[in-house]
Amino acid sequence: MRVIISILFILAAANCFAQKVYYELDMKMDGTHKLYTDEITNIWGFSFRAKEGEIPLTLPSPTLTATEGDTVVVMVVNPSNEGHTIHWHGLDVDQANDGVPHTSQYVLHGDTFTYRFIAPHAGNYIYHCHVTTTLHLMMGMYGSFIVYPKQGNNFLYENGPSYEKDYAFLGSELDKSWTDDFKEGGALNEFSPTHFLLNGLEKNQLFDDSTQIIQLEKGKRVGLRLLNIGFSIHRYTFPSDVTALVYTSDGRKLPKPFLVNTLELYPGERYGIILSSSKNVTDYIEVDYLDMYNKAQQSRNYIGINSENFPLLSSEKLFEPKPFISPNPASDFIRLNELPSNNVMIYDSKGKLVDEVSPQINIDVSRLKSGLYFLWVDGQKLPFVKS
Amino acid sequence: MFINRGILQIENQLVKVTQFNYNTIFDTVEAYPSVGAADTLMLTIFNNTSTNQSIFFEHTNSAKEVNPKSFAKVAVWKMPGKRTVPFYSANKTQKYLGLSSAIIFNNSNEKAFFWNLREYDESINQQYFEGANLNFSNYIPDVFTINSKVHTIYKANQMAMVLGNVGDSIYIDILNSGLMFHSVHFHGYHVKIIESNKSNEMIGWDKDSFPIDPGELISVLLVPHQPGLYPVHDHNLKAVTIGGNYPGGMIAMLKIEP
Ligand SMILES: [Cu+2]
Ligand SMILES: [Cu+2]
Repeated sequence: MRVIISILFILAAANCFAQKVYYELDMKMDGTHKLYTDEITNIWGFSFRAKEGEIPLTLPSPTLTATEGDTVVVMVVNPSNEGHTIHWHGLDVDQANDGVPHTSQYVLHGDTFTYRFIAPHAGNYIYHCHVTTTLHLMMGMYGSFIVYPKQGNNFLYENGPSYEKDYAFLGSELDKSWTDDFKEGGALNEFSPTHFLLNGLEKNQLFDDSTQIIQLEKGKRVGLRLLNIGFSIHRYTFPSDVTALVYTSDGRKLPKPFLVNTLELYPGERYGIILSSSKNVTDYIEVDYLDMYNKAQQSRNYIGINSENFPLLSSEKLFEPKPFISPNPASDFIRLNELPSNNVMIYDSKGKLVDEVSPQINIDVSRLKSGLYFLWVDGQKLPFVKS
Repeated sequence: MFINRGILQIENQLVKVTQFNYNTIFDTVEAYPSVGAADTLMLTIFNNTSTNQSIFFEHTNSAKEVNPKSFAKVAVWKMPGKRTVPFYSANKTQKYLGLSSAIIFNNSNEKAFFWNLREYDESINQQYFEGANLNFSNYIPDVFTINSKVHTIYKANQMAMVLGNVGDSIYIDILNSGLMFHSVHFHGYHVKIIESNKSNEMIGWDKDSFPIDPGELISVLLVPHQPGLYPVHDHNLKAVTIGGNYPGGMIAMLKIEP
């Protein structure tokens, strides 16, 4: 009996601090989205429920936030013609709130449903529809869900590193032939992306919206939250003057923070990172989209760091897929997918030239010490790891 | 153990494969021998195909040759700090056709499950059995299997069902036998990544989504904190289809009782 009483007391005490966050969302299939080519295509998604009138859909759907320990209550209303759900990706909610049609529930046309769960760990999460997921998700039914620690919105986690300001980039892709006019029924395995997005934006759009440009002051720290809800691997390459220290992944603290030059996010993964620099930098983070058949590059976006302008290079050069190198890490040879036209240079991580080889497909790296290097191939910098 | 050729019927697709079976005639249950952690496995491999087979074992870093209609014997022991010994055909085509599995070393009181992930572009399998040289340049797989079975809208994959209770230590050994990169997403739980046969910086991390590269075997530890019926699936959503339809393919289920 005493045990029960003390458990009740603990629960009551915990409740005193826990807040409740409440959201109301509409599930809709009537949105439009402007691509970087200025073309308009269709999207589906979630929008905040307006008291009066209607709030149009955005790509991605709005970011939801909560504080660690909060009870999150989300009421959804579905006026659209198909059933939808919300899966709280990474929040490990109970089965009834998991948003999988066969094991949880559908929110059918005209229905409402209230999701209820506790946000147990600070970190980066995603919410998305789990009905015919390959299609509904691709159509835009996803958004970021950020859980801040109780300490405040300028920490990655409780007693973790602090930052001045944080930025979240949710990567995804869309296939315009699907969003323009998709006839349901089969061939969902043949998804072939035509647009490669960060927060729904691509290429120059990421510079037209100043909130997407990272403001990083010398000696100060910025929080970077990276999320992948696409069908591809997203590879982030950081400029050499910026220190990127990775602290969390999938809403959990890592055993040890580690420094990265490049970081790959596979579909569904998330990371929490602190950026800093001892210099005044004006540069870009490169974001490459690699397919999951053989990691071939499909496209690249740039995130500006104190850079207001889209990189000043001719557009053809910019979007040319860079030579694909494999294996990476390599022990003996690196193979390029095409014969380079110039000598290939190998630089170490400090920028020192360690080798120069005549144009050839197979680059001998057997004599290098293990570590991070850069291969310069026809003016492009390709990081690789010698194992 | 036998190397057999046969046809997997997966929904409406017929996929011609080569696989490791416990049976002298082809069946759809793939062999993945489970051995006590202190034991040495004496394995006899019979080759029922008409092709010379060369089977590579990771504990010795060497291959065993098995001639057609002949057999070979291999001793397999636990490598220190490793739960598994992956073995597969040294020939890329034979491996693609299904010759890739693992031996699991596990204490008998621990719950352990094995998921062998593989994808097929059924037209390529067909080409092989018609004697053509394989061309992977237009590889668009449409069959995504776990332990040679798929999840469908009608029925979960019974070969990929994890049963356990809240608080159990459940080991799941996941092998990517296919050519594609996959991303495994757990509903309901985070799991601890405990080992990999490749260099993998994620050892010791708690993850709900993680990469598994071709040829990689990742072991994870699941200690469920809540009961429930939850899917685990490839988050490259092309792979959760069968014949292009959702849901299907690379989906496993966790059934956790209180
Ligand atoms: Cu939906
Ligand atoms: Cu998800």
